[in-house]
Amino acid sequence: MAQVELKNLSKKYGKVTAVQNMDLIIPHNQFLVLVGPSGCGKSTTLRMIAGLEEITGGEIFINDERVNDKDPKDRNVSMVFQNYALYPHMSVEENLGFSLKIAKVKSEEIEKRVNEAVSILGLEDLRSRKPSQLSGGQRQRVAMGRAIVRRPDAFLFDEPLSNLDAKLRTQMRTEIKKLHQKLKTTIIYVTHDQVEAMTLADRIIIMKDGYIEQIGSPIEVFSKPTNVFVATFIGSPPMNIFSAEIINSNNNIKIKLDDNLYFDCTEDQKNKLQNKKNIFLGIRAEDIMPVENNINTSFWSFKRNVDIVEPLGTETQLFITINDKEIISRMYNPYAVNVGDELTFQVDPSKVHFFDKETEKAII
Amino acid sequence: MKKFLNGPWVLLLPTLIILTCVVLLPLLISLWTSFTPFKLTKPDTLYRFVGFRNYERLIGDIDFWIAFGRTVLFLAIALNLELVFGLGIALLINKITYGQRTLRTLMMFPMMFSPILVGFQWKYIFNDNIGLLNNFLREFGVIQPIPWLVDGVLANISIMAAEIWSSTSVFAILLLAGLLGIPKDPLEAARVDGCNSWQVFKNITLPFLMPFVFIAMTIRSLDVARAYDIVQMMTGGGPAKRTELLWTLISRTGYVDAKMGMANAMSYISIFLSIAFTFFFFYKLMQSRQQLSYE
Ligand SMILES: Nc1ncnc2c1ncn2[C@@H]1O[C@H](COP(=O)(O)OP(=O)(O)OP(=O)(O)O)[C@@H](O)[C@H]1O
Ligand SMILES: [Mg+2]
Repeated sequence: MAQVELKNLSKKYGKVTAVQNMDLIIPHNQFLVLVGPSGCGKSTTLRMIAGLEEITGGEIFINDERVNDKDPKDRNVSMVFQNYALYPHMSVEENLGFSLKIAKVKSEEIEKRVNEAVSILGLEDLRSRKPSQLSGGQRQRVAMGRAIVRRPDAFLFDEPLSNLDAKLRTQMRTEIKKLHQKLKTTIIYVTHDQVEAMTLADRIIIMKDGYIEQIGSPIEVFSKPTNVFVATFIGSPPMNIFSAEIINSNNNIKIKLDDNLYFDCTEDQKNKLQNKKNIFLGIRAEDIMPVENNINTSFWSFKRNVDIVEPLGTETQLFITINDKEIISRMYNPYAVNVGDELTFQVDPSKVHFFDKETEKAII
Repeated sequence: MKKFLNGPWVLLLPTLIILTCVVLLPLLISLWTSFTPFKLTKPDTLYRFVGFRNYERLIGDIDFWIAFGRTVLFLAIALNLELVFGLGIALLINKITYGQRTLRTLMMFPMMFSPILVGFQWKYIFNDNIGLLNNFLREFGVIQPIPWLVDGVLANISIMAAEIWSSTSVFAILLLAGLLGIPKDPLEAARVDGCNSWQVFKNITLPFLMPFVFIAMTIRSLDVARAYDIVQMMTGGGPAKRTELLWTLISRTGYVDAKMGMANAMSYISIFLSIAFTFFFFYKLMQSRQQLSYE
């Protein structure tokens, strides 16, 4: 049960600014994911909430109580570290029960809660092992168990899955999601893996260089990115971005991609683009569709030779060139395509994103 | 014979010869002398075998056992105090972020002096007439000079102070190395898990440090068990044998009284002390390493 609130939070290491004026309210029971490239300040934010890092500016509130000057032990949050940070000299059981022992909880209660965590995480056979005798995935589960037994106000996860192999990661992702539904606690989860962010989050925060670039639900940040950075960071493969020019001649607005590619725009887009000259245009790979016949006349369409073909099974990625820029198109229900084939591609204009060329912000 | 010359023995031969000359022969000779009434002044006594007579006499020798007991006590007190001070220094130095290297070097200074000089220096400090300490105390109104090296109890304390001053840095250095090697993550995890500083120290830091504590203990127990120079310089075992440790007693017996046979018998008994301590600390070292599951 906790609401975590960050007010104008900043962190500086000497001249390096790790986190810049962060404002955020995380309501009770929300699964919040902090995502961003390496070095953007995710860990620093988390560590400030945990109390492991001193705050340079701003305030942190947990359940409306200001915790800036509180020791980590008085904040009742638990943290799962990237490297698990298990106590090497304690068995799995002792690792799990340690925080309760420190809190002077009665031994029957400790046993009860440890048993509970052990069965939730499937650690039955490992109870008396030392961390050095566990595999990465098992250590990861112990680290989570250690966080669970405390029944904290909030969980802080710092890239807990980054050391696991792909299969185990997917599996643990599901486990964490289940755990959240079961425990109903606030979770702040740091990752630089956007798939993890999309699948787990109630709400995603995309950070860059210490700033928040966008906050929103997974669907929101995917379908309505507020700037070029978010557009290319969320989604895989990254959104295609082109330079384009707005040609405004006798009240008819056209978008010019290169000398031979001019597209009309919708009424709605006309209003948005009227006063613009140079823009960035963003189209996701799945919105550039190769078509054989039934061409939709209201869509943009153009012909291109395929440079590279990458079959992935359920889909095939086609690489084409527009205005010297490499563009990826995703073909669902793939059929055989050879390098050099000329295909017709179509784009639904309503799926196109526009960004200001100067500010790189979405044009709305 | 041919097989022997080609075998692994040939390769080991140089080592075996050196070991025999350097270790085995002196050991055997000294062991032999402990069964004779060998006196340095009468060389022919070396060949008179008297069986266990030296050992039998030692068992009834109160002076020897008092020196033995004092050495054990000295060792126990000095080692524990050095551990406490060394740990304190290491923890403090580990906290500071600026000038750590300089301090680490400074801390080694006492170890750079010969123990003879240390004994000499401390003898001067503790001298009841002209010593620095008594002069200093006089400034604060202690008119009556304190007989640091003359009173039996005070003399032992003075020697202990010199010993601790010169060797605490062994503990400090080793424990600092231990502290620097502790991973940061478990410490932070413990803080988030609800520990205050003392609980973090007790539950996480200390288990990590224990192997280093026992390594330092092993080294220092061997050192102290053969303590000689400082005591010899400061009191020579006096007054009235009140600061006599095993090795001052042994050297007096061997070189002053010239009873080398007896002295060697004493040495053989005292070696068991060192072996016992080494064995004990090594056992504890292994145990603490196992705790951390390094093994
Ligand atoms: N102790 C420190 N001293 C100086 N600078 C630091 C320190 N810790 C972090 N930084 C800097 O602060 C910035 C943010 O670091 P942080 O660890 O929060 O990044 P992150 O988003 O967690 O990255 P990653 O995904 O690689 O873990 C980085 O530029 C980093 O270099
Ligand atoms: Mg990080």
